[in-house]
Amino acid sequence: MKKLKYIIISIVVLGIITAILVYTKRKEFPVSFIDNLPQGYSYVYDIDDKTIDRYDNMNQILYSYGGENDDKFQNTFFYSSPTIGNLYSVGDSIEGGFCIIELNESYYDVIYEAKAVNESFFPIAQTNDLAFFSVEISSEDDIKSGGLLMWTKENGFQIFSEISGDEIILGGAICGDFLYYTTYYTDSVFYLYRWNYVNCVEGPQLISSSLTTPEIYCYQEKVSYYENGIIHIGNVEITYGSDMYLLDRKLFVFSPNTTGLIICTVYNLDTGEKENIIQDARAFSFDGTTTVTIYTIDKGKVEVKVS
Amino acid sequence: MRKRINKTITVMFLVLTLCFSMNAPAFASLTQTETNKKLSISGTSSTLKAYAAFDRFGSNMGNGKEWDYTGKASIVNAAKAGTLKLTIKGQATLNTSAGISVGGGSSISASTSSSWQTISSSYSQTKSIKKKTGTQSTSDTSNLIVAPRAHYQTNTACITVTAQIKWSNSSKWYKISALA
Repeated sequence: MKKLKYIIISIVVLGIITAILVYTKRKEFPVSFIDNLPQGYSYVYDIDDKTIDRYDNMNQILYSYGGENDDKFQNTFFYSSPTIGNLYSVGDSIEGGFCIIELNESYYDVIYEAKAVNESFFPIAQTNDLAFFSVEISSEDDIKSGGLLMWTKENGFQIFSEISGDEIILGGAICGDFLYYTTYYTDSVFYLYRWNYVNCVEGPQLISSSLTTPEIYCYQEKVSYYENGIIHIGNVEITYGSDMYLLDRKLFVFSPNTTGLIICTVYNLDTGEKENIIQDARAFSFDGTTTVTIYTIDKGKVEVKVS
Repeated sequence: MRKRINKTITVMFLVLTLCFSMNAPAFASLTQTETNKKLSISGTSSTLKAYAAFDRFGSNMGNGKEWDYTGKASIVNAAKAGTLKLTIKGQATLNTSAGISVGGGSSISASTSSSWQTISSSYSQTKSIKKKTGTQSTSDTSNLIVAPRAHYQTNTACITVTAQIKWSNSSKWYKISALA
């Protein structure tokens, strides 16, 4: 009887220790390195390093995070959707522990946390009051789809875990009442689906099974994707190979010049005109309403009105 | 006996020649500092590697100073197709508007202040990789320049070479960096 008592106590103690360990592990979200923003600095998204940089507003200098020399944060990445917004996902590719943050000029809030260390999120499309995230589940020897995570300002987060079956979602664009999204089929074939997120009762519709890259964009309720290495968005034509971010009528194209330094070209999608060419561009921020700011390393910043 | 010594010397000479011709790290120039870093990617048998080599002493050029470097990103036994990215970042401590440039790119300047500031400049290149055994890599050899050297703090120049990979069926990136 006494022996049984010890066994039960041991099991309870072990259970508590395991629960504490699991909880602690889950809470180790790698956002801690962007704490303690000094006064006079702003948080900005570094498109090349996929991290958060600090911008010194007084001296107009961009300080890269420099985490590549810090083993603890070596594999911590911040992910942005191709539509500019204030929501980002952040996580460690090796340790796990993903979360979704709302990033503003001088602060951030963690608004959603992974339920398990092998769960990761990637923003695929967003507006001010709506966002979609692809969910990936990694195992010992594989990556599986965890479906789609939807956020609305009104109702918060909702998971649609079965929406894409086994297919991992890689790209997305919001077009009116529809979410268009792409999934991986083979290394050179991606599927395009359309899903009515307002009436979520109906399942997604397959639109194309022959995309060659997963990137998609939506402008004036028309979805665009690369065909033969070229994409047409509004009146703008772009060749594959650049990082592109869209907001309202503006397209921000980040591409390396011949020496590898990044140039940001800002296009007006209505007219097709290049409105700005910004040398040595590395990062951007969004004020949540009308202005996207592009940051250079040492040549200041350029504000772009998007509407 | 003499014949045996001659044979030994010949073999040693051949081995040394072979090593130098292969540019083996063990026989690299004494003025060069080298770093190799690797990361085993979980869930695969793939290994991501970053290699950085930096001219330790550099040389004076006009009113500036320059150092040669080589950066290389490699993936060994790629489990899937994907994108391999090489980023080379040069860094130095400067003041009074002195500038740094890497890879022949435009110069990034310190502020006009006379206090020392750590300034960096970087550039990237990407390569599509296939699913296959063996090594696939992308590399670059160029130089890091600071000018004027009067506003450069001695022994602060260095490069960080970062190798990154993203598989085609995932949005997740992996990274490893080597500092030299």
